[in-house]
Amino acid sequence: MSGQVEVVKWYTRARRFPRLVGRTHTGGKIWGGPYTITQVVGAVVVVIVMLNTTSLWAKGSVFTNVAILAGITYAVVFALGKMPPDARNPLSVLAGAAGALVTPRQGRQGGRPLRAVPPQRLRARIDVQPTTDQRLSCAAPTARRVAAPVPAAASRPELLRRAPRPQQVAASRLVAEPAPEAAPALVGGPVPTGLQQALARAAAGRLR
Amino acid sequence: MRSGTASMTTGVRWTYSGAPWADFVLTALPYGLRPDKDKATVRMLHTALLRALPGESLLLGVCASMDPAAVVDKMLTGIDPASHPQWAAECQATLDWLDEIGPGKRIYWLSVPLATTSPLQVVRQGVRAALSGLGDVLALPRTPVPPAEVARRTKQAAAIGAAIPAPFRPSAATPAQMMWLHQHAVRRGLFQDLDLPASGGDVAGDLLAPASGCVLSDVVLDEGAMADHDGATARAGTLTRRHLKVTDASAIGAGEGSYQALSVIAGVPTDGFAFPGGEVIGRIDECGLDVDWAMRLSVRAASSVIPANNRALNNLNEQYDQRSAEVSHATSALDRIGSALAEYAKALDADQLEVETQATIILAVAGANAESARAQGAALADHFSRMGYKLAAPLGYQQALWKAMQPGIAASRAVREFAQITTSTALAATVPLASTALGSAGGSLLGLNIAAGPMLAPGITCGPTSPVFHDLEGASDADVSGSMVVAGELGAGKTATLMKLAGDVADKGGQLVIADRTAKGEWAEWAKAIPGAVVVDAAAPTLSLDPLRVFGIRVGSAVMASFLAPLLNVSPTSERGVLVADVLDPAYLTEHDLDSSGALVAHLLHGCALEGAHELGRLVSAFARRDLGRVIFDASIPALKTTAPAMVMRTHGLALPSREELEHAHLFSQMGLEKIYGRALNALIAALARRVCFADTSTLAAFVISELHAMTISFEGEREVSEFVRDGRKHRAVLLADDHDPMGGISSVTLRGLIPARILMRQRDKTLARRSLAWLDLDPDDEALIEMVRTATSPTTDGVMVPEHRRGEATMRDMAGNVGRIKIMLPARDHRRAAITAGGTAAARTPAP
Repeated sequence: MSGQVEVVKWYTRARRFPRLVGRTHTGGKIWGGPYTITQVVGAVVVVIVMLNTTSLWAKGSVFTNVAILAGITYAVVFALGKMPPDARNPLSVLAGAAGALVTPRQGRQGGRPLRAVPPQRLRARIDVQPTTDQRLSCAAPTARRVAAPVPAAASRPELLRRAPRPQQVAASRLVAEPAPEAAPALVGGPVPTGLQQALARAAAGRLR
Repeated sequence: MRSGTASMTTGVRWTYSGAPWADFVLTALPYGLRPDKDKATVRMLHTALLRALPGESLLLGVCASMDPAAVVDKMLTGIDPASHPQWAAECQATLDWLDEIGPGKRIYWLSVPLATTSPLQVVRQGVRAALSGLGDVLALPRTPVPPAEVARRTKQAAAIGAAIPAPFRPSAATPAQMMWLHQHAVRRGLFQDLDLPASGGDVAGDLLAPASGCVLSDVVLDEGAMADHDGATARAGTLTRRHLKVTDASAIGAGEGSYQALSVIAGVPTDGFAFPGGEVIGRIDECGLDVDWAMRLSVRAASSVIPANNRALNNLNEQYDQRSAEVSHATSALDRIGSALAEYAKALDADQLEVETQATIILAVAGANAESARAQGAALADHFSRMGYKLAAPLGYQQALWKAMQPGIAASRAVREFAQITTSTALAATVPLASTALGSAGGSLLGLNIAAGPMLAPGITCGPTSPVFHDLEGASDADVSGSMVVAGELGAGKTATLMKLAGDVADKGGQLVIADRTAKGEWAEWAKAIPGAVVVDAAAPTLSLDPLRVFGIRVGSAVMASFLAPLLNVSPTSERGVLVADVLDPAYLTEHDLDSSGALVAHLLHGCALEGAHELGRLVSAFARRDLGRVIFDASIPALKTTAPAMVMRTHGLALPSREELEHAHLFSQMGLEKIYGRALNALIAALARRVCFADTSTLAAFVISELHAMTISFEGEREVSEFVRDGRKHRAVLLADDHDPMGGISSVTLRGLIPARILMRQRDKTLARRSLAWLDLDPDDEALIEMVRTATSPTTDGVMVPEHRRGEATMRDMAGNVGRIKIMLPARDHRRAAITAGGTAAARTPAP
């Protein structure tokens, strides 16, 4: 406020600064220098790759071949020189790009690609065989007993889970989000309180 | 993604990678509009916190949406909704608008990996973690963490907790809270948060018995939301889609995805930042978005930094050599690096306890669709660039950044790549754990905390916005009054604020005595909304304020005496003073059957045998004969019943003396009868209010004074008001008052000090703005604060109108002395709101919906 304002510094640049190569190890000046490490590495890689693949591209005279090699190397060095000096490690950028390109279609779960199982049809051809008891009871209708229905659904915990709190309509910020569905997906999260459920019902009613 | 956590107990989580982590929930420190000295203290505590965390750690600040029901619950504390249907209705209506605003708060979390020193333990720990992972793959039953290990790690975590500076109030995170954090990260931006489970509710025992490993749900992480895109270009599109789709794998049905845009601070201002003012993380809410931040910290002792710094120095020297042949500005750039390095070495050297902190600051914004996440990410980058920081959303690293925001997962390469280096003292200046909390824990919902910035549009708050309460019952732990004074210029919203609070008193079954000096009778108009409210108009009375009839002879005679003293200007020991005391003796009044002021005057004039009674009678009847005197002396008007829920005393048209007239004998002697009467009547109203409000200690009662200076200008009035505030808390009675110049209106320092809760609304006059700031205990000479009060509080767009969402803004000092910014919200129910806006000067100040 009105008091003294102190200037506080970050020291990242003091420790990490772009390193350039401008002289050979004997102290001689490198023509066109200085070069960034990226440029040096890039040039070396291009030269090595090209020298090992001469069969693919070296079709002309020696003079032409040398010109092509020099030209491409120069172009790569020039292009790499256009990178901003404080840019990220190019290997890390490439790794990230590669990672993004090979990202699995459905995302990853537990570190492994998630594969959506295509819809399958379950064929069922059933015939029902009456038990001996039933045969007997059919034979003697007076002895028929009615079994109590088993609440099959009650044994499935998913169905007992409660609905979460609804999305808040006005909570959409900056960009209008589509109105949420009246029945949000069930979650395995904390079970909402009675009041929250009442809220959910009220909100669902309002949205309709 | 499988979460990194294998087992949890209160305060500790065991991970699949081996090392257990200790988790704490921290409390932010009050910052906001505090003076620089306090800010420096908060920064010092942050420095201490960073120094207490050697090695890796993770500091999180996540936006949690608050459950409106939990907020409204605070309004209902100690009140039975069934017996106060009006209040219950207000709470119900509040629930609705809160639901639409979506109030939020920030939760601060610290997670620290626990060190393992003995090699045997390292092996054991690794084996256990590996077996745990293998067991999960084979779907074997989980083996519990041995009790001895639990005890040892809990103790180790407690030791870390003890090293954290106490003001941060570290509390060991419960498994329920850890689970909340996980769910929050999965559903970020979907506004599905439940409230953070309370600390202490220890379900550790249940959760640690590892019947199943499904406490933290599985998560599907989809870089670039591939699942949403089909076709040949879908894959290439990931190069531009810098967001992550996070889905809960265990959600049944088509679980909606949370689209999260994660970014990391990749560039910092090379020239540094200012403190105070540059708290990039502490003031992050000012960007207007719900941003979750994570600070991956790596803290190293200065001694172990020396080699790294020396290496940098060597590299630098080599660079001078490498670039010596160059014709450019290279040398000056290298010089700058050199001086920064020297400065850094000096900073590390200057303080023996100084440490190096490498912080990777990761930020996450999220929405329910990709476009929302992208737009928010862009807005956030824009906000940071204005502060000199560069944000990067590195391609292909969205997943890695998301994981880096989870406790229990070791720092990855991506984290280390973006680490920013500085000292603990410097990093502390970003004040990550800054709170702008304001108001009391419950009571009346005054409005919204707009510390981060005003509302952006109707219903859209700037960042996570919490509600501000004011407890009219006062602070329960300390003997602090719930009284409040509102200051501000005309039309700034003083009356509306008071009407809101007064309405709350009425809804809670309390009683109101209102001294309304406004010519329009705003309060009389407003009181129509209160069933059973009565209006006493001093100019045209339909109800009488005659103390003898209102309170009966016993109490009324004492009130009458305090009314007659300033009216007749008698000293108690003078001849006439003794006569007044004799006549007003309850026994005398009963004996002569004098049950009204009118009868008393008649008795003095015609039937009293005491010496000088006739002269006294003539003097009193000089007032009683006048129109203004009817409200006391006209026996034909029915008396006010003090059981009414709201009593409005209109005193417009009542002339009042100035301070000068009261202080200078020659002016005093020339004062007109109207002014003498006005002064006495105001004192009478104050005395009456005190008796009514103090009568029943079981009911909340409020004495509302519009234009406080009118009441405090006379010594009697000021004394009555002071006593009211002083004793009010014991009787559950509060004073609610407004004034345009609080320093002038409450000239008594004692009275000012007695009312700790103060609200300052817009004040465009510079001098008054300064005085008002001093009243709030802020620096009156701070230009920034003056401008805030003058132009940044409910500003007018065209010089006349204030946009609806900017109305009711104010600077507030709460009962605890915290000062912050607030937007006052009108009552939630339409008819209450209409009653306020219908009254007059207060323009429509509807809440957001």
